Amino acid sequence: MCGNSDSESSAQLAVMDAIVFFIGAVLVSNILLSYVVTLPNHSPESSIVGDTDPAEILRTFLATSLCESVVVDLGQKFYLDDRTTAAESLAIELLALEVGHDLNQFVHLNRLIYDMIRAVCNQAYEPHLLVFDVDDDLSGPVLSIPSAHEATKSAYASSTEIPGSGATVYLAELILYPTLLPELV
Amino acid sequence: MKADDGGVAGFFEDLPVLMFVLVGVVTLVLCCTWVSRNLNAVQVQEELDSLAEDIVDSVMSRLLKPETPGLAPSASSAQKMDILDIASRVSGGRHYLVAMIARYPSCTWLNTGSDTNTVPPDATGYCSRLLNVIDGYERIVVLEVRAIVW
Repeated sequence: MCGNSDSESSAQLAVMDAIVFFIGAVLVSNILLSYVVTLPNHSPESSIVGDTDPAEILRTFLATSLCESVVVDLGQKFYLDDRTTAAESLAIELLALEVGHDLNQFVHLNRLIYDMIRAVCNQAYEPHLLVFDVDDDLSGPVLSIPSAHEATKSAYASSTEIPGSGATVYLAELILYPTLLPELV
Repeated sequence: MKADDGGVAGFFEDLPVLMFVLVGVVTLVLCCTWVSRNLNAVQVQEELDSLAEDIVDSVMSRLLKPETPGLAPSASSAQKMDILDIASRVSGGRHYLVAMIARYPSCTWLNTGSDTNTVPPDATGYCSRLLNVIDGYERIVVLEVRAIVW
């Protein structure tokens, strides 16, 4: 009797040891798997670098010519030739908005600017350009191209200062919203 | 004679133990194999991406001409560029495909260069950069330099 109870308790002890070993093995496996998942090439953010860097897109876009002549009617007609850069045309638009002109007078120019950004950035992203007055951080954006955009959970952004009239400095911010699932971009 | 009751009972009692140990060992082995394969794939991918980046940097630096800083390159110089000559110096024996694409105002292929006609396998390195160039009408347009390495 005494021998049987000894063998039963040692068998239970062996099962306990095996369960502890099994739990340990599962834990170690989990740690290894979670380490691999956190590697840079496994994260969705890795695909943004190089392919669709918002800073690179914003810098390139601002230095690009409109490649199309635009006439803006502000009482007197302003003629922007096809060599005018996006930064220069934005500066003119911001100056006009500053002195009280209506945003509707720049519909064609803003449409062209939007087409430019769309052409430069990866088609898997939806661009949204916002311009803020650096000194007036309480109000919203001075300019938004397109005028409204539904924000998504994940987005990539970059900003740079663009000179305005006189002492006014504006901050141009480019936001890229993935149109596909981030894992597929 | 004494019956070996304990021995028979011990074998059946050991089966759950054996099962837990075996499943634990198999889990560990499978996990380690998968992790090592992934680490190896990540390392190869990083090498290929780095090589693609080097090729794009070489093409960009040839276009931008460091000896004349501040001067934007022309689209025609990108069209005439000998991509094979530049890329073969940094490709390190890997196969590559380099393409220069005008992105704005129109999307057109300006120049391509590859050392092979073979189809890339699954593992490829990729790099893409944008730069401004001056076109024939003296407008600043957008050029993209892409490289795929395998």
